[in-house]
Amino acid sequence: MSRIELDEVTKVFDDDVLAVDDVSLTIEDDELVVFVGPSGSGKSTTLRMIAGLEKPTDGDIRIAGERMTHVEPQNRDIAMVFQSFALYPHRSVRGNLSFPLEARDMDDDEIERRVAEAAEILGITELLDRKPSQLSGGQQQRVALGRAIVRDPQAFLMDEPLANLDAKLRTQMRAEVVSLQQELGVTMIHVTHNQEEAMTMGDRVVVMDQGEVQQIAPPKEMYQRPANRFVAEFIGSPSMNIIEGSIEDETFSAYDSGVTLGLPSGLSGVTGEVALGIRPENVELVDEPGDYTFEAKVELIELLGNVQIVHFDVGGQEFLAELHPDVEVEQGEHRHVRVAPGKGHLFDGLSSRSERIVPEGEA
Amino acid sequence: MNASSLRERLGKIGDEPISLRGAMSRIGITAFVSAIVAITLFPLYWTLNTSFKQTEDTVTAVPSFFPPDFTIEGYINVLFANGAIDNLINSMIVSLGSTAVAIVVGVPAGYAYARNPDRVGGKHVAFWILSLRMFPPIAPILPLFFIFRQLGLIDTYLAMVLLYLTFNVPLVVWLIRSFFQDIPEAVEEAALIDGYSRFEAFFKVALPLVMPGIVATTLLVWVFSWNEFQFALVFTRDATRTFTPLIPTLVGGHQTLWNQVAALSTLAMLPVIAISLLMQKRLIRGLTLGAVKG
Repeated sequence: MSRIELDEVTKVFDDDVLAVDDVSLTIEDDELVVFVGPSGSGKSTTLRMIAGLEKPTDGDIRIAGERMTHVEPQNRDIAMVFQSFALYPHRSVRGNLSFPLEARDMDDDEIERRVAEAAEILGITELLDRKPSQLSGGQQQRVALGRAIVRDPQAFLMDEPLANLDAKLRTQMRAEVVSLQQELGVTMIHVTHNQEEAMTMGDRVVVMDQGEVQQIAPPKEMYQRPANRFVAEFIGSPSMNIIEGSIEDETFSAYDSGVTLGLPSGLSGVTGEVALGIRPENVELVDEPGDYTFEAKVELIELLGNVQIVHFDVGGQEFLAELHPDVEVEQGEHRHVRVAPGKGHLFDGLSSRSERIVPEGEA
Repeated sequence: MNASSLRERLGKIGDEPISLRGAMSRIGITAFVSAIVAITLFPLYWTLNTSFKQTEDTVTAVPSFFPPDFTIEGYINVLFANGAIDNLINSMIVSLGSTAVAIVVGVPAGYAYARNPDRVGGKHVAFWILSLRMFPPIAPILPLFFIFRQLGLIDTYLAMVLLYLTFNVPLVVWLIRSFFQDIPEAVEEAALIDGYSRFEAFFKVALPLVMPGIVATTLLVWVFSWNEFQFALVFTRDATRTFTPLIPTLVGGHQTLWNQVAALSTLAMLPVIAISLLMQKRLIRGLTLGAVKG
């Protein structure tokens, strides 16, 4: 198993579309890294360049220290699981699993042993003689995984392999993929557009947008200290509330809603145009106005069981709060919303690339 | 309503006394289908009927629906006296040769136009290939005749194979192209990742998956070459004459040898029917390959 390095990798497609822009990152040995981003962010193209299915326009890719930039996929010794599973419809499950081994001129006994082993790990032994068309989505997924693990490759590349599964199965497979990765001790890159999947699976998460890496960090750090406004809004569900405004004399004034909030001590000294980000779970309802509070009207209440998501209207802007279900709220009433001190994020400007202003005293 | 009670109700609809309108429509549909079957099969039946008659029985004022005097004279005469056996062999050589070349050339071309059209001239060249099939065959016959005469190709197998390629290659390229387009590229990419070269991925994955399509295309192309008449009439003489131009020679000024015409037509149909039946399962899958996606 091995380390994968990308060094200033850029991909421009024939029609002058810049898909991946100057991406540099290192995936350590035995690490599970998740690439996440909206569609068109370049995450799949980056993965396909590591696989060798696309050639970078510029930059270098190294696998296990070897320069692989222009090596054909068949000589890279990596395995890949596709979103569509891409099973060979004309071969049985056994034939699908043995296909990568046959390419390596392995002897029949060894192939049979490895296929049996992989089938055992994934619990598909009784399906070995079926054709892919006779399998359910979840079973096809397992066969696709089996085809990857059967050959003990340098790394696993997963291109949205869970996207075609229904919600329940997706959660189940997510856990299985993670435990498989840990059990086998393999380097794995998992691509998804689902931020929840990214947060739950990755040792580290790479957030991409418009071909550029926005942030590389472990999930917790990504959530607590998003590098810029884009990451802040993309990671977390429901999304972080953003209020645009400006700061003067240690006070934040929103442009649209008229909300004003004092700054906590760590952020004193900040002035000018900013975006203020507040996660829905970092607010509470209070009876009296005070520090860090603003007034808002309750528009809609969604009770999810363990929490309730309250949609507030703040001077025409939507503001979401995630509250304990026991908190009494009624539609149409006006309430005082208090932001937990130190839990707001300030971004230096209004664009999605505006960087987070790091408060004093934060590591 | 659950499924079983729905089925019960639907079942009752069928059990209800048939209304007059319902009966009329059933009779109408049955009559219509029967008429189509009769119109389609009657010429085949009549050919078969005629082929087993004596020459004089084929021109009786009141036609007979069964040979009055059953004989295989027509077959023997056309095959041996009129030498149709050589013509059938020539037809086989020309049609198989042309089909084989068309498939060998057309399948890789169709693959290229499906997967990477810009590297093989783009859609305009692809359309130009198709356009070769659009002109009426009679149009190029005269110029081609003079070209082939200059090259000394008249009455050669090579000439016939080349001529039929003009029509068959475009058909193969376009049909096969659409078959390949229906195969997700990810399946081939999976093969590349699994350790195979592009060529191996083509032969081990893409090709087996379009095999039903290739079978259907092969048959279409072969039947076209087998039945072709115009080019065969102009470009063949004694050495390579195929069976189709032989048929009009049986229609004489004084007498038309209808039983021999029918016998030769029947013989010519046999391989087509036999192969179609043999390949029926794959053929239907091939013809519907693009229509129904799995």
